[in-house]
Order: sequence, then C-alpha cells, then structure tokens
Amino acid sequence: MPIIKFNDVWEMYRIKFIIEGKASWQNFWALRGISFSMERGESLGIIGENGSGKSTILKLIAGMLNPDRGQANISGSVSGLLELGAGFQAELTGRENIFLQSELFGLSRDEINKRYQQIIDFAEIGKFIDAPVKCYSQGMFVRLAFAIAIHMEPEIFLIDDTLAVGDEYFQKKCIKEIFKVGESGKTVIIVTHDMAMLQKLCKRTIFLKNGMMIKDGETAKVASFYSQAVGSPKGIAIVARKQLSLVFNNGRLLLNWEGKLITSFPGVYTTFGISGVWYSSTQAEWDVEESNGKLVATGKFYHLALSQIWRIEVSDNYEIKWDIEIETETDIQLHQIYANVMLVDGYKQWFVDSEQGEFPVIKEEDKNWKSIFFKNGPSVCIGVYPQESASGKLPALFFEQSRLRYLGQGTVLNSDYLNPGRILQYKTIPISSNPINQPSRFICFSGAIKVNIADIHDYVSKIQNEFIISNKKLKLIFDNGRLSVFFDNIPLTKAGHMYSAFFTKQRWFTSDLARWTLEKESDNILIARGNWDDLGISQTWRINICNGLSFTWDVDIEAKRDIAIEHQRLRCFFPADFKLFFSKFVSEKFSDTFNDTEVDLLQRCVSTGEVGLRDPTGSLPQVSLFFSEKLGNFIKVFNSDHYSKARLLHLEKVEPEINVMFSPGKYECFRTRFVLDRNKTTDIDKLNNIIEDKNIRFVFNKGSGRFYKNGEELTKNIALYTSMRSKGRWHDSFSSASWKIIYKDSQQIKAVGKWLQLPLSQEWEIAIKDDGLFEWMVRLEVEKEIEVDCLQSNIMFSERFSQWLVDKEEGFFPEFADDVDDNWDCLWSGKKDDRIISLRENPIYNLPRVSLSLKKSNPQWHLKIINSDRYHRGRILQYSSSAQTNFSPGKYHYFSGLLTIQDK
Amino acid sequence: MPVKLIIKRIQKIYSYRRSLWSMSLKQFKAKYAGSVLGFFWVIINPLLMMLVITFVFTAVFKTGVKDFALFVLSGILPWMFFSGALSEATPSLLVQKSVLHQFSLPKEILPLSSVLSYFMSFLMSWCIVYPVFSFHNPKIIPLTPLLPVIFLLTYFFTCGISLLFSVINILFRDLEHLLGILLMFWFWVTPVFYSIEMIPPEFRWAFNFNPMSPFIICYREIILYGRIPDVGTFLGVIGWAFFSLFIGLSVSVCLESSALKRI
Repeated sequence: MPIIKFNDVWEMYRIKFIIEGKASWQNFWALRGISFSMERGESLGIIGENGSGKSTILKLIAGMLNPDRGQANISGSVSGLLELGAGFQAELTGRENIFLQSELFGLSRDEINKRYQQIIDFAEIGKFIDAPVKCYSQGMFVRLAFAIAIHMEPEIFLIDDTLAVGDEYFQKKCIKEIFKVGESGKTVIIVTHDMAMLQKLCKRTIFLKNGMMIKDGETAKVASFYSQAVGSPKGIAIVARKQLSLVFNNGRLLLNWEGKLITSFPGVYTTFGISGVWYSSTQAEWDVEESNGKLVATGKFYHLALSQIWRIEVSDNYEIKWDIEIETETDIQLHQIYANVMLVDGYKQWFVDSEQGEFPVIKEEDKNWKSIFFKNGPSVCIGVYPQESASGKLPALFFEQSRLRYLGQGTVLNSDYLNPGRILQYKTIPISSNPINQPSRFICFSGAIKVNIADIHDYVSKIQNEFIISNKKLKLIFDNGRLSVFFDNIPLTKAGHMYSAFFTKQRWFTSDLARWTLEKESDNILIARGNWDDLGISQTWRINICNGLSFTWDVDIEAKRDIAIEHQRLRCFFPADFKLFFSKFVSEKFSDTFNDTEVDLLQRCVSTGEVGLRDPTGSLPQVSLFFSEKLGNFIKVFNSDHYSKARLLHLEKVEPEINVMFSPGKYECFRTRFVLDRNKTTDIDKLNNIIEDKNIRFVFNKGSGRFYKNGEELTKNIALYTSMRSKGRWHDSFSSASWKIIYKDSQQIKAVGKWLQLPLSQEWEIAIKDDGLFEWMVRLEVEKEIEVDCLQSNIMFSERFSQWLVDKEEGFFPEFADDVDDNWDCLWSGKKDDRIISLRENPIYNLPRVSLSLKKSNPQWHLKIINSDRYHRGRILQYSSSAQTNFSPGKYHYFSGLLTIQDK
Repeated sequence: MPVKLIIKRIQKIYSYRRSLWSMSLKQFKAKYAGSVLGFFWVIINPLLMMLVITFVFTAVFKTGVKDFALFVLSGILPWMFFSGALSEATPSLLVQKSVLHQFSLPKEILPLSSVLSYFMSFLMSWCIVYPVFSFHNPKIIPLTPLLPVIFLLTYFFTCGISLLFSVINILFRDLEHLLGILLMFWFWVTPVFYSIEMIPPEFRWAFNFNPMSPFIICYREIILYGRIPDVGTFLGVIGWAFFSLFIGLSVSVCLESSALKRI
C-alpha cells in the first residue's frame, strides 16, 4: 500500500488580476494530471523551474489543499519545513513555541518533554531560545523550525526550498539529519534546486514543468535532463515520444534516447557567417511555442536585424522534421549556413549516401575539428550506424536533407579533444540570384533527423530514387525548382544551376520559391509541378533523359486565373571551365574576369535554335542547347557576376505584346534539349568554311567572313557582311539570316542565306581569283514584294589599319576614345563608284595593304570609309546605296567587288 | 445532506482535541499577557459595560426597570461572550493561516479555539458574578444546575455561527468589517437592556426571529428571576444551538476546497 498516491491530480488557483484598477479573475492551473506513488521509506526529489507546481504538490501532501480533479491519498502523518515562520506565534518565545508546535502536531506531554531538549540542542540558537520569535532572524527561524520539524518524527517529511536560507554549516547538518531520517525508513520528499543535495539524499526524482510531470526516474538521469532544460524559459520546450525525448534549449536541440543523451554539447545547432564573422544559433534570443509535439522557435539576432525560425515536428516513428527559415530586414549577404548535429563520440561508424567509414579516434593533439569525409556534390543523407557502448545502445541516426530543398554539401567531422564528439554537417548556401534590397524571408534548410532506423542502405537508395534520374553517364537531380546536371559524377552546373523565372505583378518569381511535387512517369522521365498558390500559377517541368547523352527539359505554365506575365526565362549556370561558346554564327571566348554584374556576350538576341559551350581542355564535355524557335524563345549568353563566377545560358520568352494577359489555361513555354558530347572537336570547324591561298585565308562563318594573313586576322568583329534596311529596321547577314553552304571547293565558297524576317535570300560567292585577290559577289532573290531603302556591303577591318586612301586623297583614322565614340563616323564618302579605296597599315604592324574596288559598277552605290564605334573598334570600307526601292519578286544583282591583299 | 462528512469532521476535530485545547489556552493567556490587570479583565470589561448602560438608562432615559444594573448584567455577559468570540473567530482562519500551512489540523480548530478561549473567560466571569446574583435573589440557587446547560447551549450556538462566519469571511472578506456594525445592530434588537414586555405587541413577533433573544431571556429567567424558562423559549434555545452547529459544520466542510485556496 503506497503511503502517497496521486492519481491524475489537477489543481487550479483562481487569481484576481488587477490591471489599471479593473479586477479580473483568471484560472491558473498549477498541476495538470499528476500521477505518481511512493512507498514507505522512499526518498523523492522534486525539481523544476519556478512556478512549475512543486510547492503545490507539497501542499497537497500536507493536507493544506484538496485536489480539484483526481485523488490524492496520503496515509501517514506529515510534517516538514514548508513556509518560513509558519506555525510560530510571534509573541511567544522560542521555547514556548516548541511546546505549542509539538502540541499542535499532536504529541503528548511526555513525548514533548523527551524531545524538547534535543530540539533546543539541535537548533543551536543560544539564548535567543527565550526571546519572542518575532525578533528572530531568518536563519534562526529556519534552525528552530527544522529542529522542531525533524524531531516530530512524522511518517512523511517534507522539505521545501526554505533550507537554502540557512548557512553552510547548518545545511550540512540538516542534510545529515535528513539522511538519517531516510535511513530510518521514513518517507522524505525534497524540493530543491541544489543538484548535489538531490544526488546525496534522493534515489528518485521527479521533474515538473508547467504543472506537468516530464520525467520520473533515477535522480542522475532526471538531473541531467533538467540541466538540459535550464535556460531562459521562453526558449525551452520539451517533446517526448516513447524512447526519444528532445529538449529545445535556446537555439540548441538535445536528443535523449532511452534516457541517455546521444548528442554532445552543444547538440543540434546552426552556424553562419556574415562578412567574415561567425555566428551560432545559441547566440540569439529565442522564443519557442509548442503544440502537440510541434515546435516553432524564433531566434532573433537583434544586432544583425535577422531572425532564424526553426520548425520542428517530432513524429511517433522517431523522425524529427527540421526546417530553418531566415527572415532579414535588410539585404544581408549570407554566404554559408551550416546545420550541425553533434553526437557523442561513442559512435564509431559513419556513412554519407552510399559511402561509409570509421571515425578515427580523437587524440590529445586534435585541437580543431577535422573533416573525415567530404563529398563534392550534394548529399541526401549523412549519418551514423548504431553502436553498442558502455552506457547502453546508441541508435542509428540519419541526418537527411529534404528533397524539396536546395541540396547542400554534407560532411562528417571529428571534433576536438576538449569536447569530443562526432558531427554531421550540411553546408547550405542560400542563393540570392536576384539580389533584393528589401526585407526577405527564405527557407535555407529543410531536413530531418531520423533516429533508430533499420536497414540503412535500402532507405538511402529509396530516397535517391525519388528525385534523381540517371543513366550510365548522366545524372540529373531536381531540387525544389532547380535542376543540377552531372556527367560521370562531375558537376556540369553550378551556382544557381538550372531554374526558371517569370515576371508578373512587377517582380520576378523564381522557380525555387514555389511549392513542388514530384512524380516519376518512368525511370527516365521526371515530372515536377511547382505551385505559386497566391498567384494561381503552376509550372510543370518534364525532364526526360534520352538514351545516350542528352536530355530534354520542357516547361509549361498553367494559369488558374487571369494574370499578366510579361517575361519568362530559363537560366542555366555552368562552371567557368567552359571557355568558349558558339552558336550558328558566332564562336567566342568568355572573358576570364567576372564583373559586378552580368555581361551579355551575344549583344543581339539570337533566335536561332542552337547554342553551346565548350571546354578546350576537354575535361568537361561539350554542352549544346537546342531550343524551339516556334515558341518565341531567344537565347542570351552571359558571363555571370563575381558572386556566381559562372557561364550563363539564358533562354528568354517574350510575348508579342507587352502586358499580355494569360487567361486561365495551359500554355507551352519552353522546349529545350541538351546534348552532351565529349568528343566534338570538329563541330566548330564545320560551322566555318575555309578557302586558302598561300598564306591568306578566308573563313566563311555563316553570313560573315574573315580574312587572315599568316594566321593573323585582318578583319575584325563582324568583318565581311551585308546589311539591308527595310521599314526602319536593319537586317544583317550574320544575324538575321540562316545560312547554308551550297558549294565549296579549294577556290571558292558559295553560300545561300535566307533572311528570317524578310521574304528574300542572298547568294554569296567568294572566290580566289589570283594571288591575294578575292572576288565577292552577292545576288539578291526576292520572294514577295518588299520595300528596302538601303543596301550595304561592308568589310570591317582591324583597327591596326590607320590610314586610308582614295585615289589621291588620303587620311588617318582617329584613335578610339573611350568615352566619346559611340557612333560610327563616316570619314569619307564619295559618289564615284570606280575608285579604289584602300587601307594602309600603321608601319609598326607590318600589315599588307588592303584595297576594295567594285567590279561591276552601279551608279547608285556610295563608297564610304567609316570609323566604327568603340565597341566594335574597326575600320569599315562600305559600299551602300540609299535609293528607296520596292523590290518585286525576282532576282537582282546586289554587289560585286574585288578585294586585294598585297604586301607593300 | 453532508451528514457523513460532518460526522467525519467531528471525529477529526475530536482527534485533535489536545491541539484545540492548547491553542485555546494559549490564546486565552495571550489575551492578557503583558497587561497589568491580567485576567481580571475578564470581569472588568462586562462590569464597565454594565455601569455605562445603567447610568444611561437610569439617569438619562428612565426605563423604570427594577434592579436595572443586574438586569443588564445578566444579559450582557452572554452577549459579550457571543460577540467577542464571533469577532475573533471570523477572521481567525486568515489571521492564523500559518498554523494551517504548517500542520495538518482540521481548519475548524482555529475558530473553535477562539470560541473556547472566550468561553473560558465567560466561565471565569460567572465565578465572580454568580455570588452577587445569588446574594441578590436566593431563589436562583435551586436552578443552578440549569446554568451549565444554558452555558453549553450558548457555547454550541456560538461555535456554529463562528464556524459559519469564519468560512464565509474567506469568501467575502467584507464580513469582518461588516461584523462590527452587524453586531451593534444585533445588540439593539436583542433584549439585553430592555425586556420583551417593553416592546409593543405588534412588533414582538419580529424579535422571535432573533436567535439571541431566547438565550438572553433564558439567562434572565434563570439567574435574575429564579424562574424556569417557559418551554417554547427553551425549545427555541436548544433548536437554535443545534441548528447553528449543523449549519456551521456543513458550510465549513462543504466549502472547504474553495475556502482553503483563498486563504
């Protein structure tokens, strides 16, 4: 028969709150559902923060209160030290009070007489025993009170925290005495904050929080659990699920399995760096709310104007979901965030995705954390295998990143010797691809800690399957609106990887902010659906790996309500190892330096169907992007800014009119195909066609042509091309037409270019006529009636040519001034068509003289010598005619000229 | 009907009778500790009261009652016991709450100890006053055995009301402040310094609602006139005594949970 039995006890106080003169009664539940029982002779400790209900339990045991709900059965006499000065009659002396209290307790005269002297001796208050107690100090009160109480020999002895009032000598005495009482088979209950006292006196301890019993067990375990929960009370929350219990304590999570701590100080926490300074989540001021095992904790870093919000949910199968969100009031450059799980060093074996190994032993000389394994790409899952240790079984622990979040790099580390432990860490880099100068809120980590999972390998491969599609060489990982590409496990994308964005309601929405769901149509096809609920837009990506080395990425949009989407784009970031890019017409090198902003390298939107990147060293395969022109897609190629240090392929979809309203429905937006090829080296060369004569080379490059002498280029930039103006717009041969070479031999090239926006085509014939003599002939074929008001044939030469000559006239080209020359300046123009215009070189450069003359004259042709702008930096020899002409369908002669390149 | 609880409570109180006794003794002693006249105050107080009233009602308002001083004295002693005990018992639970916090006594002990200590004074004052009455009217001597009966009934009645008021005072703190006025009013409607006959017959019925009236009448009959009080009055006294005890214990037991918290 237990001497004390509490059964679902609830105790409420009705307290009158007076605010500004108005009184209101509120209920305060001091105890909620407390159940426990004690046998005779047990010593129990009760710990908890202030206001958790400890004194209320004592009052219930003392019979001072009746439970509001439940039953409290006490079968024994109770005495103790509950309130300082309780039971004393102030006017009576100490001696008289001894008698009074003994009588009140119910002792008979004889019994009192027996103990009376012992009480006085124990109290040791000297002559004050004969003074009225109203003049006692607190210390004297507690001595006398304790002396009396302990000599009452009650069956149940209660000590509330008042012992702390006595001095050290007295406390030691009391502890000894209480110990004796316990030994003599009496039941003792102690409420204290002194852990040492608790360890000495009580075998069993109860931990209360907010009126509820959190733990009931062995003193050592409960005391350690209590110290986990010590801290600013707003930032503490405790969640327990069968064998797992979790303490959130002001920016750290501590995990207990079967009553033992499996995390090592500080536990589960985050660190991040801003402008070179490191901050830890334990430094913020935290406020946590708990409901049903879900915690929402907000940590404010006041001096950074930044808050970190943790959402933790613990489920019954020991899975702890953990989302970290950052809210900033200003634009903060957060470079890295580390999510750390620090475990006890009893763990010996780690794994990262499918690799595994053993932690080396931490030795005395290990003063810093050491990374044991580091995987270059993103990881899904890092963890430790279960381990039998001296103090019990350590369960398997997984630290997973949710597939719905940007995948960061995972590492396992050994900590230093002073605080040994094993760390599972994710480094996640929050991307701000559109730097925003306004308050922003973004999720920077979403993951889960899973404890005690069986079959680990099975589990990991299941996870990977959900959002990765791959074949032997190619692997595509979808991560919350971003696609990363791996070739032979080498990452082909970096920084922002591949993502989409659209512009509506005056701002850009990127795909990583949508809510994504994934579906696998087959092993090779992944369908991802992203929802922007507040806009009523959903975007569907269909990613299909084809056999071999290509994959397609199709993007469609569905609008649920009328919405105006002004621009849409796809952006793909590639590593800087790609040094060259090429398209149908152009092949250029990327600059090696990165500026503050992105630099557009294809200065005009090229809406042809293919663009590619090449790594000259061959370590990365060539990447070609084929896209559909039908859907109005334009390509741009950028060198990124210095944050990303990447090459950017940018596909833009522009609606024909501005402010296009999308009515509810589905729309196709992008159709792309990426082809990877390790061995394409002849591709670029195939685009050009070359005719050579001795040491002069002409290279035709789809609507433009270059001349080289002795390997050095004489022309510059756009070099040889034609231009036509119709209805106010210029159409150049290298950008507005699609070319095909119809004939080539060693002496001549014939090519036909079909203009995309004009119903006409041009046929070019470039032939080597003689040593250093080239003929260039252009014929025009018109399909439909068209009005063209200006026709030009141009050759742009290198700026190294400094002098020009026409017959007897000559002049110099001015140098390009960096701040002034934004226009092309015509330096000479003449009507006569039979002149020869030539350029002479600057003697330093040893260039040949170049001359251009008309073969077939045309009275309407003007000759012009032009200095270009500072962007092109070229000298142009031009034949142009500005007669307004309506061309009806038919063939026309356009231009026929001779170019001589001769050494001086 | 909380009869079972009341019986249990009475048993508990009985088990703590020693505590009750020592508390009452202490309170009794404490009342006169440190004063010069000491326990003579038990009689001086009522005597002084009697002198004032006698003066006022003989010299100022002539009542024409024979032996007015003794007339008043016979009523004033029980009245002062009742009002004194009630005044001390009503706030006793709040004033002495430290005792409740330290010991697991039944809380009724506190108001009951106040009543008991006043009862002790009451009894002591009778020891001094009784010779005076018996000298004045020897006819009262054969009725002396009735005195302990009436004393006990007065004691029960006072206990009941004290228990009731002590609990109500916790819930309505105003009671201890109202008590002064209440008792004053009660005093005026109790025939201490006048007799029932002096009240016009139309109003006489109202005085029957005052529980103290039959008590005072009985006292006067027994100690002053030496007559056995009539049956109705006597039954009234018994009835009121036990009724108030019953009500007092019931309220004390039933409202205990809410009362204890409010202390």
